[in-house]
Amino acid sequence: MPKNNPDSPKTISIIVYFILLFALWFVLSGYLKTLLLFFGLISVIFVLWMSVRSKSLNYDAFPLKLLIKLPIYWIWLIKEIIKSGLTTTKIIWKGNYTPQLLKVKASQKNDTGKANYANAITLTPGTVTIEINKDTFLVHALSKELAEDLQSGEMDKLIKGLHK
Amino acid sequence: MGYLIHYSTIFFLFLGCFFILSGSVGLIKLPDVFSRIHAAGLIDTLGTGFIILSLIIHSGFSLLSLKLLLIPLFILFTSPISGHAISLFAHESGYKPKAKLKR
Amino acid sequence: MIFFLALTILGLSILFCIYRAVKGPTPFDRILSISSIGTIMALGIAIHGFAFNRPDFVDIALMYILLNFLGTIAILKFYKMKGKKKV
Repeated sequence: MPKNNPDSPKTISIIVYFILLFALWFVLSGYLKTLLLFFGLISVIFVLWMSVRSKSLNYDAFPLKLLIKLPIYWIWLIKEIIKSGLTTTKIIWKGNYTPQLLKVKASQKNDTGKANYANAITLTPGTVTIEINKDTFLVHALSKELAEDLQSGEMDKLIKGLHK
Repeated sequence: MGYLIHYSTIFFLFLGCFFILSGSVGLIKLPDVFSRIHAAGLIDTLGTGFIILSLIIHSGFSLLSLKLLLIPLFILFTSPISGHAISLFAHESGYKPKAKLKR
Repeated sequence: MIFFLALTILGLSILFCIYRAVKGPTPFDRILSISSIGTIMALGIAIHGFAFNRPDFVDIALMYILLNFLGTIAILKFYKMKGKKKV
């Protein structure tokens, strides 16, 4: 069950959830008749009512100022994934792996930022988060080059800027 | 324009197939569990991304391409979770990686 | 035609994954390679739909990916419970 800040915007995030769920329903079904759209509306409202009632909704999930920063971050992440993926492919075909364990410090304040940082480390091929202590991650890297790339702290700084 | 769409579809499709093949070769060649997770991550990110990109170019912009775009979106959320869970449980149940911890 | 060639390459890489799933020394190797097989299968279903001009198969690929994630987490949880009982 997520812990919510008392001052996080409740109405706005419910509206954002409604738009996202209805867009997902429309993409999956693809019908434009009035009756079927009405059924979709009913099901989306039912799902939202259920999840508000069972208190399993996270109101921190959509800060509106994130909407501008997020596409820039995603483009940077895709670039990073392609770069380290090419390195991993080279290592696999040549066979000169030198696996390394290292500890990485996470300077994010809240839990969402830490989870996002660990996800980003695992998502780039070549580095995997094994264990999460309070603010240090135990990371397994496939080669020395990838480990140094992670230790330079560029990703840490960027994700810290994302979760102000 | 038609030629461009055709040849870029072929190029990205075989780029994705190459990454998937090299990921599965890495699943055979690499020495221990923690290294093999990297190969599986290569399949999940780059192989899926390039193959879905080629299918989107082939189908043109429609509702189908939005539906195709949902596949890498779901993988973006599920792949790091399962990779982290596998490595965490392997570490907890006593399999040590071959690499030593560096200070 | 190109789609059939791509499906052949995907089948070859599924064979490599099956080798690791049969031989793998630890249970986590098997879980990892089975999860990779699931991802490759979903991509293969999507490509197959385009090869036979029936793009409705993309829905099945979506469901396959979500079920693959659920299956991986469920098997991992089972192994963890089993390990705890032994200790």
